[in-house]
Amino acid sequence: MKNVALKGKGQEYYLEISSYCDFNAALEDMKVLFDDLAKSTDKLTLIVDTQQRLLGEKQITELKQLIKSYHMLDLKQIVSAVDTKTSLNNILKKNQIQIESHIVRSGQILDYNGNLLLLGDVHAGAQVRATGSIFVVGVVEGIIHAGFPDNDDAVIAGNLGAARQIRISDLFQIVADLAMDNLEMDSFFYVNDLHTIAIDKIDNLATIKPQKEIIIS
Amino acid sequence: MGTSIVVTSGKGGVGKTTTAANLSLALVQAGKKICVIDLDVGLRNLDAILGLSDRVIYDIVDVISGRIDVQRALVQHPQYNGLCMLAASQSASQDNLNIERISQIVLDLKNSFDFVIIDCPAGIERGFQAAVAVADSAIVVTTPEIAAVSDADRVVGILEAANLTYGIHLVINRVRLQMIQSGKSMDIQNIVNRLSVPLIGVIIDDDEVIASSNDGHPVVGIQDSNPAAIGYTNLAHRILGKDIPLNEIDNNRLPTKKSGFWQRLFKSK
Ligand SMILES: Nc1ncnc2c1ncn2[C@@H]1O[C@H](COP(=O)(O)OP(=O)(O)OP(=O)(O)O)[C@@H](O)[C@H]1O
Ligand SMILES: [Mg+2]
Repeated sequence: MKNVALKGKGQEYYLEISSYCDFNAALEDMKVLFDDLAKSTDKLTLIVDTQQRLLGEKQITELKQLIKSYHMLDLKQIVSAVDTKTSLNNILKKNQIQIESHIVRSGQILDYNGNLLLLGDVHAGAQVRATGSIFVVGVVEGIIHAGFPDNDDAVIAGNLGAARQIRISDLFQIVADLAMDNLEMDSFFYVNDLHTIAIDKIDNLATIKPQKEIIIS
Repeated sequence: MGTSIVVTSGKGGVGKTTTAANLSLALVQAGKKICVIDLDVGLRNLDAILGLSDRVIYDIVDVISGRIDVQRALVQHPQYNGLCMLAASQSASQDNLNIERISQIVLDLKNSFDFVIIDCPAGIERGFQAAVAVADSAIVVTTPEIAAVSDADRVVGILEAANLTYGIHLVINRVRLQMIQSGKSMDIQNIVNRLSVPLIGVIIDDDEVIASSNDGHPVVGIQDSNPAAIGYTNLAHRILGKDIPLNEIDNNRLPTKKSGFWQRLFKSK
């Protein structure tokens, strides 16, 4: 029975599959374990932890079928400590913050994938777009578009009092139409629950739109 | 091997041609051999300001098309030995500007002149692109107006992408100190900060510039003491590497109160 182990952690039951054994051997061990359990339990919600092993499609189907054949078992999810390179790269690309230091001049449109930290001014007639959030250290006179084209979670922070427009997702705000005292250096723009652009103090960024996913590379 | 300097602006009418003509003359007076090229094909007027209109026989489109050798198309200034001009064609359009051919022409000219000064058309069309392609350095001319500064910004962005060997420098033309003092026009430091391009010349707005251009004698050639002429001469000397503070106007005609302005500008550079 050393290939699989059942552990209770808090409210949950974890079925751990050893990282090094043969998968079929693990399935055999599971059968023995589940037969045993069927005698004593009538309901058990299970999380399968494959640890350092990444299951293929076929293995997942086999595992699911086995668990399904025991009526008292309910599979909540399959977890593991590892992930494919492709999916990791995708996560990284989406969540990194890119740091750019240059002036964006009239007529230039810069596009970024993910979040952007811009160290430099955005001149009148220039536009900076990112699929994620945009933080600017520098004076903005042009247009900043975060969450391009439709990401409501993006925010914009920086010295935006002289900006022409703030755009987030599919929304836009003409800055000249705003009450100026809202536009201190310590404000940020975000999309609220009513799907309109709102402003708040940067102190509240963490509570309103936690930027937890951002990794500084 | 000489150096090419492109004089450009984005916005029209801010003084590119006037700057190209006066800078050329000031460099000649400093002992350099200069060839000045008019790329404003279709709307040429460099020849008129230099007083050379009567002498133009061939133009740059003749050279581009191979009808004539570049050396034979040059117009020699009768008064200044070191000054030659390659005229723009008055009839052709900017589409005639074959960028590869122009590069070759400018390269040829750099072999026989210290500086090749190129007067650009306004805008960012083909004439401008041809100029950028052959530039070793650029002078961006602006006036103290929002529209001119904003167009200059556009042009600087394009020039930056071209990675010129000797970089981009700024000339602020038609400066009227009364207007700056009274806050009616953008001030110099403000413009320099906005564009973040090093300032290399400040030229006062002066009626004599217009009068002398109409006459075919750039102001640098006729009036040493004219404040605009001093501005152009200092610009030329700065290009030649002399460290001349940007406070020339202060010494000439401004009352004491204004000295602070120029000193501030100079110190902060
Ligand atoms: N410092 C100055 N003081 C007074 N007038 C000036 C000054 N500089 C230029 N001007 C005048 O401004 C007008 C436009 O100048 P210029 O032709 O040199 O501009 P440009 O940028 O070459 O124009 P274009 O874009 O049409 O080629 C001319 O009448 C010229 O005499
Ligand atoms: Mg001109």
